[in-house]
Amino acid sequence: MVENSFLISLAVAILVILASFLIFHKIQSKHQLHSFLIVGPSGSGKTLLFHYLTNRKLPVHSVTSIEPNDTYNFKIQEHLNEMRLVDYPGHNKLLQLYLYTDLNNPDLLKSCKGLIYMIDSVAFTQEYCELVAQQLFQILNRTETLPNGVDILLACNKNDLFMAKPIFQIKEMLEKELDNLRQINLKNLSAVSEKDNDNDSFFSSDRTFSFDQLEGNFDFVGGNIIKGNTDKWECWIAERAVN
Amino acid sequence: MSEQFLIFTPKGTVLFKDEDRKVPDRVVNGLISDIFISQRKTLTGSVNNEEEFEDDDVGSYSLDGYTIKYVSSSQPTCYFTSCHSSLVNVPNEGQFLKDIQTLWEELITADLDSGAFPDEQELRKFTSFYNLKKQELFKNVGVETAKSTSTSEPHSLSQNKLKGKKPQLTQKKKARRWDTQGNPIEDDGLEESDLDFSSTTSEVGNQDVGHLVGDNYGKTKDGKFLVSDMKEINDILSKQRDKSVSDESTGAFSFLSGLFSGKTVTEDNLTKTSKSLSEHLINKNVAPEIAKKLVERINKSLVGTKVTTSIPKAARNALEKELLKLLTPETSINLLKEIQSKKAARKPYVISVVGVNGVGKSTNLSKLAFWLLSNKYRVLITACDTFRSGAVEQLRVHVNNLKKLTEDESHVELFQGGYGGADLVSKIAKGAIQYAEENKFDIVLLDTAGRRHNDAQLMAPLQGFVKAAKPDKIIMVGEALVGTDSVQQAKNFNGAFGPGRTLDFFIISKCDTVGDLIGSMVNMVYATGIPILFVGTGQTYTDLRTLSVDWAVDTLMS
Repeated sequence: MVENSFLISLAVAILVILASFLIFHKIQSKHQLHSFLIVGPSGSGKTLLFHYLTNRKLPVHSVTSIEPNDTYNFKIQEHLNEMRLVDYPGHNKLLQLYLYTDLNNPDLLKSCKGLIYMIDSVAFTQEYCELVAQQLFQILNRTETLPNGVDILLACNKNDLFMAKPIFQIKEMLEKELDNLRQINLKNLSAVSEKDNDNDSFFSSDRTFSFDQLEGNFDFVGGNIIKGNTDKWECWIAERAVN
Repeated sequence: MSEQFLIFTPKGTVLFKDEDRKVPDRVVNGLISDIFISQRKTLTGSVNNEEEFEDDDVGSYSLDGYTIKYVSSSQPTCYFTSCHSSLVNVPNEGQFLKDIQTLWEELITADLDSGAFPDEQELRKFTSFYNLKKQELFKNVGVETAKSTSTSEPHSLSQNKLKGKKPQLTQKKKARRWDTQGNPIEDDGLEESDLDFSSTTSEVGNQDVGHLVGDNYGKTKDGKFLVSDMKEINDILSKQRDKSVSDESTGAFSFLSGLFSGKTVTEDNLTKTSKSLSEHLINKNVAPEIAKKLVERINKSLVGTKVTTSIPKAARNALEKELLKLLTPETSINLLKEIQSKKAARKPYVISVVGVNGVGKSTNLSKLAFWLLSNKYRVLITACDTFRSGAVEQLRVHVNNLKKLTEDESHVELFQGGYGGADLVSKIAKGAIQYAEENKFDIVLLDTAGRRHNDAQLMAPLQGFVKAAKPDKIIMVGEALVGTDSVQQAKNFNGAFGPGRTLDFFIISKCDTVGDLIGSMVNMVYATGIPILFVGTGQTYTDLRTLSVDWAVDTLMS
């Protein structure tokens, strides 16, 4: 009888240890999952792309997101491992809250295999370009701290439409605008903080900015999410998921 | 009459859409960005200008000739919006939305918070109920013409959709619902059909009563389905009302589920936490009324959710997020960029500084000037304080200092017109801008007289001044030292420039004197929704910094 209860308690103890190990392992592995991030201005089609990539189907409609969409079991191809896919809200007030906070986290930044920056090619005016440049500036300042940077896909949504800006023009405008921002940034006042960081960010160099300077790849690829024309984007993701 | 009805989640996914006429996306997106993200309604209260308030839960928002009524539910969080032209007045729309919300909560069981889509069958049933409710609403309104135009299009659409999936659907239904009876529909008695046809009536619900001729089902039967559907709807609705009256009973083992899936936050176990949080905020120099409102907002977002960490920790996190959201500007301001483009147009960029007496308007203006001068811009400093004796001389000292500090003395100049009344101020401002244009100055800085924010006689000239000078940016200097009064200061100054013009941003001065008690920043931003761009951190010309939101939030939370 005594032996019996001893055995039971032993079994229970082993079970508990096993269970806790498993749970710990699961939590741990969640953090180390490869991740892909979808960012971009409001209304560029991020939420639709997220649903298309995860469920292979589009919701009836989508509106401005207030919270990020986040999944840990995203598979770009059947035989590949599960990955994390996050769709961040594009509203300016929410970028600081979600995207920039996440990018400041070194673990997450390291696990990031690719960043999909979505834009609306039809709406791409000078004003829109400035907004995109502004956000890319913040993103690159963080991703370029890694030795190899982070690969970025500039997904030009609605690229097939008649009114859309051609890709080469978008690239030209963005490059110019980012260099403009770099120059202004050199003149700007530094931010208040406890520690005096000596602004060694990517954009504090004197060189004229061009996309070739970046450590990570920066690709411009067109597509259209509503028409399901996303093959090239998926290829891009798959390429990085395999590595 | 509703032109667009949407149900969507905070993640931006629209789960249900009924659109009679195309409504531009910017209308509902405007609602989301202005109300749900910026929470401007709670800031000013001016967005909601409805004369009748049926309910606090039902909000209303207008943009571009459209009016949206909305309700939101928590657990899972969903927003219900009904949009129509502002010219049409729809009575009972609030009640309609709330009824739909109840139906939705009752019928849709999918875990929407995790991003799952609702079950197709459930959605179909909901759609039929929705259409019935909508018809009821139309009958009340009595818009017969509107009804016929509005129902025809979605009707045909949904019918097409249904035709494809019909056989599959009915089979599913049989398996799920009619197990015990096992009889097909046609053989069934009327009683059973009364009970069960709710799901099959999706077709009926979608069709207008007038469209029934020639359909498979007889008219009498249809009438019955309709009645039974309405009955079920009303049952659900009344059940919900009862539920809200009676207290929720907790099961014997609910503590176990609480142990595994996290605690559910209730009003009671939040009281202690919220008290300590609001005390923390007040200790940081946040005005008590604003601390209270912030904590209320957090409570509202937390009640009913499940937390895996301790409640105080979850509340702290929520507060941190809330502050981060509050202090982040809606659009990023890039002052140098704007100056650059104005320069390209050969126009001087005009910046005006306002504020209460002694907050450091002239000092911060000089700091700004120093920064701009070091970027090789030509700056004209203008003394628009014609009231306080010595104000012009004080500025002259600053200008002389700046002249010595820059390479080229001609880059900075003082423009002054002596002392006098309010008319003189506008005259000086106009003169300065003209002078700047003629002498190729890039930037005009207007230093105004300090004034008490609650003295209408002193505040009134500001409107005329802004009209005359048309500054590109109006900056209010507020000091970090001031406490609760900062709320009123910011509000009064923000409203002093007449309709269509507000402050552009704040400079918070004297931040080095308060340590981590920077609650005034929260006060001013909360009261006006205007962002802080710079903070003054010391006595010298170089002690001007841009605000880092992360830093501010960290300081406030420490």
